[in-house]
Amino acid sequence: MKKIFIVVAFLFSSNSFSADIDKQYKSLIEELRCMVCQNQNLSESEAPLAVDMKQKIKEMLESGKNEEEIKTFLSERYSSYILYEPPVNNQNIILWFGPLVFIVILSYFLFRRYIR
Amino acid sequence: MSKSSIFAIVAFSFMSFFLYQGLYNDPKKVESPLIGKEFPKFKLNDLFLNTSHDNDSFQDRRTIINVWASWCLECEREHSHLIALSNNKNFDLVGINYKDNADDAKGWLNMRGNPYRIIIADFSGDLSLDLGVYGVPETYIIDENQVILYKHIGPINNKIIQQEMMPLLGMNE
Amino acid sequence: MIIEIGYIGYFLLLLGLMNCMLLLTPKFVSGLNVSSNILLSASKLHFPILLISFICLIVTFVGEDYSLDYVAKNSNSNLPLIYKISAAWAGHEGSMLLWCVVSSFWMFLASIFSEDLHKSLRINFLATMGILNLGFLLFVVATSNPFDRTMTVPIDGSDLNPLLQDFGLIVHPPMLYMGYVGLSVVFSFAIACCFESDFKKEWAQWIRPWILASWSFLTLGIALGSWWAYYELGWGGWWFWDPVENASFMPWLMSTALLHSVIATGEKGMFKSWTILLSIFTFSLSLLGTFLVRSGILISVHSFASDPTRGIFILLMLLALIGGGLIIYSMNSKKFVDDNEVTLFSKEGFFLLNNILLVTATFTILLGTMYPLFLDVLGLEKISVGVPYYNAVFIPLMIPLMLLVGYIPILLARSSKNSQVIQLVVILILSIILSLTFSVSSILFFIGIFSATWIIVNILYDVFSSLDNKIKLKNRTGMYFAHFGLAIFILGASISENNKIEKELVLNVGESKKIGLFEYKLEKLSELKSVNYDAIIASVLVSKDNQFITEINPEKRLYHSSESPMTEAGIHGRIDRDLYVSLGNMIDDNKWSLRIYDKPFIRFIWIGTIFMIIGSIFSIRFKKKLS
Repeated sequence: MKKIFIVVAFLFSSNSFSADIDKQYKSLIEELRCMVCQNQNLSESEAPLAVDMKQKIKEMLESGKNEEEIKTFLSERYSSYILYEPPVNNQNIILWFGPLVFIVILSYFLFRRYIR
Repeated sequence: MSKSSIFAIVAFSFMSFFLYQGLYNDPKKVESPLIGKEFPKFKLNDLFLNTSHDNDSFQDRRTIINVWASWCLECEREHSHLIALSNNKNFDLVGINYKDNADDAKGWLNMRGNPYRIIIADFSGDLSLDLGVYGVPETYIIDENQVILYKHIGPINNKIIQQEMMPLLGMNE
Repeated sequence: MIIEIGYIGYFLLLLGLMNCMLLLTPKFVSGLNVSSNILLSASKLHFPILLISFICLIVTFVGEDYSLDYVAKNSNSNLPLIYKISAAWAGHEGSMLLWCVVSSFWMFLASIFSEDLHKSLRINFLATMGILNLGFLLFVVATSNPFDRTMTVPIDGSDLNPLLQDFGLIVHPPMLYMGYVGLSVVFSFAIACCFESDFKKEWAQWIRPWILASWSFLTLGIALGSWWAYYELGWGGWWFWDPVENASFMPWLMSTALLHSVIATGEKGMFKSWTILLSIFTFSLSLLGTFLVRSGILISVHSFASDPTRGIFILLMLLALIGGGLIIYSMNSKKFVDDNEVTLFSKEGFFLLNNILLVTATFTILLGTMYPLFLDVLGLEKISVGVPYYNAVFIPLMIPLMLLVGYIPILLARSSKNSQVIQLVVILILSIILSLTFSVSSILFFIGIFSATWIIVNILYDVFSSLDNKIKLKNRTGMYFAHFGLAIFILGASISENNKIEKELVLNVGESKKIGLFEYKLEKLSELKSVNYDAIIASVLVSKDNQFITEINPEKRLYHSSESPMTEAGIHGRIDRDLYVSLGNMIDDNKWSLRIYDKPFIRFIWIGTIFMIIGSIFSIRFKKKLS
């Protein structure tokens, strides 16, 4: 959906193209962790590495790469640790599905105990 | 004792085990995803000479690659170890000068000695980004096929050299 | 003279330890003809002992006694007086002592106000509190003694962390501790109830104000922390899902569940076991939070200087507490038979649903906070769990909860189907109008507006249709205010996120730029040399349609004791909008980069929490008369 929007917007106005890139950039740098000051995201961090990374991200967005590609690029080099949104894979399955399983189990036990 | 209480106590004991172990972990150290992968492609100039380097500049043998900078205080601490390592002809020793100024870097080495066979000048930081560098100094070991075997963040010392690096350099006691 | 104060302070800590052990003798030393009066007296005496010790600590700060290691690390002769005082609880050791003081204070109050409690219940109640107080104090004396001496006395101290030289950070920890530690009263009471033959309704009614009071302090503490982060950190954010924030939010969610479940237990003798179990887990989460913050196990803005020994001590305490609590509970829970059964479509049924949602939310946050640690210990790939995860998992749990909250007045009124439909239509129309006013950018925004409108309109409808029934209104006042506060909070969070403007720009002195509805002009830059820092202050003039509105003064400060500069944002705050300006970097003498944030209705976030607290106070005061 986002891709289609980018293409259409690009075709009709270069202004809205860079506005959309700006939006993507802002949202991306908030989702990435600064490896130097690890309790800040890239947007907040002024560490030299963060500044370099932000520059690289801007370049990649302008050359047409999308969010997924940029996140993959960075996590290949810095590991998934740099992503504030943990990837959905086998290792993280408990993380993503745990809450659902929990609410089902809790509801079952409490309903059985208290509701007749 | 009710089943759910036993379950809760067991669950909590598990969690305590993890918490206990976690006390002795360093939450900031992150393992590199590049272990087992090939050294990234690059083409950069040498720090001193007017030549350019690329992946063919590596010799086909075990190599220590050390990322350093003149502005990095911790690099001072490990420098003598690097000088000592440079005397060992069984492996290669290459430097990557990270986000530095050429004159500062050269001056720094002139004062302390140059342990590196060649030094790749990564002033822009692009190669280091491809390597996943985030805490200078960092030390890598690659094998004969330029596959990354090892990464250490922070200055190296005798213990790390003997216990972690030497076995990978093919130097067993 | 000052040197002696340090010794007196330490001596009092040891005295406190002895007092606690004395307190426990009637309970645990049988065969001695020891009257329980000792327990009662000791439970009251503990507070003055620790308070005086803490005052001694403050005196050593004000008196600049750098022979104490803790004082040397957290103070400086140039530190303004008020911060010399607050530095006493700025670091790990002092704040832990403050925790002990607060704990002794709650025990003191519990002792005074429990005179009419059933005798055996009272004794076990206070004895459990005594054990907890002993544990905390032992922790301080053994691993975190603020009265430890330095090897060599420095000429001057290292100064208080500049981030902590701030009013918000003076008040935030004590309020939070009042909340955390208040929950230990609830925990102790629950344990004591386990030794009785049944959990009587009257006892649930008795403990309810204590739950509400702790909850209020916790709400206040968290709100203060969020408010502080907003104006101090310079990025306009107010919640980061940082591990330590999560550590305070988890007990808050659980105690919210608890304060509802205990209503049912007190009024109708329902959810007895569940209320007891919740009481045990809620305080356990408080303690877990303490562990996470002080052990160095997690990375956070907040982490105190870490030390595995301390971590191990707290971990053992946690194990004893939860393990002991659960064992006592499970050995006695068969006794708790509810007086009534629950029907789903009733007030109590709604409490059950609300509890399920809140407890799941707590579990989710716990999972997210601990998961990276689990993976790390198992040697698997290290990950980060941040804002995107919590938003994805937490918000879907809150949406049904908001719908429940809004439906409560309708449920209580038992209004006709027709009037319910009319209400719903009115709410939908209002929500759509409101959303369009603010220009919807996402479905989530509309849901936020709808939830808030749903809650508020239903409350207003119930209030206005019950104006003749003063008793009913009085009983519901607390709930109305608290739920109203929740709705206001949702409005603030939704609108400020949806309509915020965040721009980074570079301005020369004299230059101005329009952002949103306002023009910002960098009028001038001035320097200030204060007692322990130097600052550059920018004067930014804000106008709208050429009409001058206000002057905002963001600063960049370099504290003498620190290497990196700190930014102090300038904020022009109104109930309907905050204009927030933060200095970035100096490009040259007359050119700076600035960050400008335009945040509509962001104050509703904290105003909402104030209403929640007011609601809680009403609930404490207006106790329902039960037959």
